[in-house]
Amino acid sequence: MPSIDGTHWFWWLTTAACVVWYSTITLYVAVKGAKDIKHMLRRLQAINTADAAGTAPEAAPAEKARK
Amino acid sequence: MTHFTWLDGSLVGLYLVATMVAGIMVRKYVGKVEHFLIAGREMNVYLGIASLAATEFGIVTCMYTAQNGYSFGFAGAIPGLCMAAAMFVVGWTGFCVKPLRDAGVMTIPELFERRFGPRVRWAAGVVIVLGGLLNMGVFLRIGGEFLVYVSGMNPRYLEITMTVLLVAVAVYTILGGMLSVLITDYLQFIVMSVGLIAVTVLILQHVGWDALVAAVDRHYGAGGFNPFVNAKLGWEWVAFNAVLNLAAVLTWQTTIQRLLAAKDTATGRKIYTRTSFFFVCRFLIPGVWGMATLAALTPATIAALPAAAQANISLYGMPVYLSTLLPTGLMGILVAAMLAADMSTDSSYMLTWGSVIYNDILAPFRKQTSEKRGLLVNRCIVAAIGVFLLLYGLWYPLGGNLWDYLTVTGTIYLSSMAVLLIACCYWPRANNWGAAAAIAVGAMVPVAFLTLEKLPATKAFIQAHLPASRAGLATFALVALAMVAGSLLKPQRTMSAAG
Repeated sequence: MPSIDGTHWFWWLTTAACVVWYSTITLYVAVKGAKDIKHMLRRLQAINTADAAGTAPEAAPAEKARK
Repeated sequence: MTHFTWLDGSLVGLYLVATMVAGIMVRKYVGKVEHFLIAGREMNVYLGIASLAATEFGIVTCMYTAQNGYSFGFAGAIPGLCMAAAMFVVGWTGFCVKPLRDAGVMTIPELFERRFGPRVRWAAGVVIVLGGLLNMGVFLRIGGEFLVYVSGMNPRYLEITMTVLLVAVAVYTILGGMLSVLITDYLQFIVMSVGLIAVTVLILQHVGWDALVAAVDRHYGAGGFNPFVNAKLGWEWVAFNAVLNLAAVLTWQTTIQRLLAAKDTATGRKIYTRTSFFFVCRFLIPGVWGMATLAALTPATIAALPAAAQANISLYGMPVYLSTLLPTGLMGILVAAMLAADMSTDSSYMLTWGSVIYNDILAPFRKQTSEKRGLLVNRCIVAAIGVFLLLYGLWYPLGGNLWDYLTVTGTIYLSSMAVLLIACCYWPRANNWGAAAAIAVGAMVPVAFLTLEKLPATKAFIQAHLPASRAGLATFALVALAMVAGSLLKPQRTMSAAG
């Protein structure tokens, strides 16, 4: 059982929170970040193609929703 | 005796090849300067989190946060708590970052031009680059020294190893700009995080929480847990870190570039709030490594180290300890993780200061240029920064506390830029006189401090009466005063004159 007397409980909780939060967020960001990369590259490809053709790129889904 | 073997070397080599390939492959998407500098503002939340976290954690971060843990115990992690709080509040409220992102600028000085004129933009650009490059100057050597101690590499190969690493980073940064930085940051975030978590769990298992707490208590007493009762820290140090980290969140160009590359303001703010807790981990996780070093290193182990390491054991103790603790395989993961951390930091920093040089310092000399020529200029600037880092970064002799050096050099621009940004966004009376005075004071005070700290005649006085935190707080106060005084001194145009 760890010593968590006095101010130590604060640091014990913070350290435990760091390990748990960091492990979780790493997995989550690994999955969601890959999707962000795919989307970003697809959008940039569309922009570059549109620039080359002299037309406006198709709006992103979020922009479409706003419109 | 280190446990770094061919298996570890293979893991590191595999990681380096994968990063290089990924970084170079995305160069084909770079069609404009905007793509090169801010990824065409197409970055979404989770990629932003990965990139921000990877950028703001390098080997140098690991070294100074572990040094804080070794030197001050848990109290040394307070800057991380300050930064996390600042980042969460700023992201949640949109303080300064909302008007900044809404303005659609590529750098902070570009926003200043709209309010304070082109000269202030130029001066702000110079100060940002000066402070940023001085700050970054120590990254390479510290990173190399970590690798020497942890892997048992011959110190003779430090320069060549770090040169090869920097060239590799420069190649993909020059080719792909922010896009390569984001993709490699993502990979580096994963590798770095796996390494950090695995090593921390192993350390906590090996040393144990009770032994860690006992070591801190034995060396620092209550001051190892509470910075306010620590004789070397105190309220000035806590106050300075609170102010400094708020300024960093608002204006540190590598952080701000993630906000500016985000696809919209709401995304930028989400990146801030959701990454905020990472900054606690950023200080506490290596801090635990430093405290474990304090608990585990015996006088006999320290006596067997080279004289340079013994002289600065608070800095070099952690890699020495890890070299004896980690088994084969995990050692490779740690080295790959630390290389990942360093590469993501170096690439982002080179690109960031390069973006300010191109966008703000060269702005008055830049005529209408084509996108192709703009890209070429940007690539040359990044290459030039790489050369500077090799020359400055590998020979600057660092003395004293690493975190103090970084805060003092960072203050060169953080103090003035934070004051300028707040005034620019929220004080209608602010003008170019105040901005110029703030920039001048913000640059002069830290430079004077660094100089006086080195001069034999003043060194003792500075050490006795002017700790880095007091000098830093004084700088922020004087800069704010200069902004107010300068702005109020400038005659306001009357209606008839204005008309």
